Amino acid sequence: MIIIPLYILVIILIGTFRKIDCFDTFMEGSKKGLHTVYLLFPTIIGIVFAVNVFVESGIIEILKIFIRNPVIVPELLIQAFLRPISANSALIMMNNIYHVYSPNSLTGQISSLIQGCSDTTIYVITIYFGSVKISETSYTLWVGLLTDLITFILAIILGNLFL
Amino acid sequence: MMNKVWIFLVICGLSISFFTGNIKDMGAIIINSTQKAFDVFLNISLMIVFWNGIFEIAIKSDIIHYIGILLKKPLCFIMPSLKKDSESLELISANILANFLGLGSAATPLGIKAMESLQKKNLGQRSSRSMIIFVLLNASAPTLFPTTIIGLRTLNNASTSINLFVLMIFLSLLSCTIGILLEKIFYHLVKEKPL
Repeated sequence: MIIIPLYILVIILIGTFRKIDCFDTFMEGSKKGLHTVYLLFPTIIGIVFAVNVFVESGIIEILKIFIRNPVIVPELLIQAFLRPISANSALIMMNNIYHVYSPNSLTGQISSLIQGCSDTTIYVITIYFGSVKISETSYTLWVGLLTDLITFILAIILGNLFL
Repeated sequence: MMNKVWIFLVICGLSISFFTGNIKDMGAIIINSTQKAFDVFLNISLMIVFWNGIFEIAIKSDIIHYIGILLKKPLCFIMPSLKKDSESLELISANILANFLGLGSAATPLGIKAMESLQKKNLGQRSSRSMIIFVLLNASAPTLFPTTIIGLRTLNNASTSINLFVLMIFLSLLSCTIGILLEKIFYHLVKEKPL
């Protein structure tokens, strides 16, 4: 993917142009990242446990009786359901789909789309409105969740058309 | 919220496995899940550490504030109240640009500052319409550089085709537009309109 090296080149060129000590700044940022990672480990271990127990319980086989589509597999529905609630749970689900169906399959690519094209709607709404202590958020949640649903449907349609 | 999801997954999983007979394998699955967790953790965390370093350079060089000016016109069109509120406009354009560039770690603090600035102009304890639109913009995650997904695909030995890349950007911008349009529809539907 040419976009990643290009993106990094532009960032470092701008940094140099603005007379920033790029390496020191890189180290500084990485250290912050390390702190994020340190806090992330317990979350990941807890979520992988819960997601694995759920996925391996036999629910996939039960759902497959109703959903016989070769592309829209039950795992994809579970990922889409978890996406607005917990970014990490959905990410683990995507990883699961990569392992079972391979990332290059249509299912794997649609799974990437779902993960990349929406955010943790419920979490964002809670954090942002919580920061200014507003609990009356009117229709925000409904619009957010409806948008996620439409995005999911569009991901499947567009994925089938163009991938 | 996370508590409810976690409990739901574990209790549902264990009870369903009891009926399907998968319970006999559950012991091994639970033990192995820590090993799987470590593999996933390693993939994600190394990427976080690396990209945080790169992004720090972008953040320190202040590109967010410089190019953010380009977003002012379209943002004023979406949120008309910003025309009279230059402080919020500044913060919101920086936040949206940080989202566009994939600088997640910079976007959230800017977004919270923007909310505080919007709250200054907001009378009462109810959310203003600008706040709703701004939160919805953030919730649909517009991005031009989906670095995390490309990275995870690469680590799973898969390339990202140009089709997928373009589609990801297109769909993320489209979902943003859908969010804004839906907000307009809902605004006309509800009786108690936000200010």
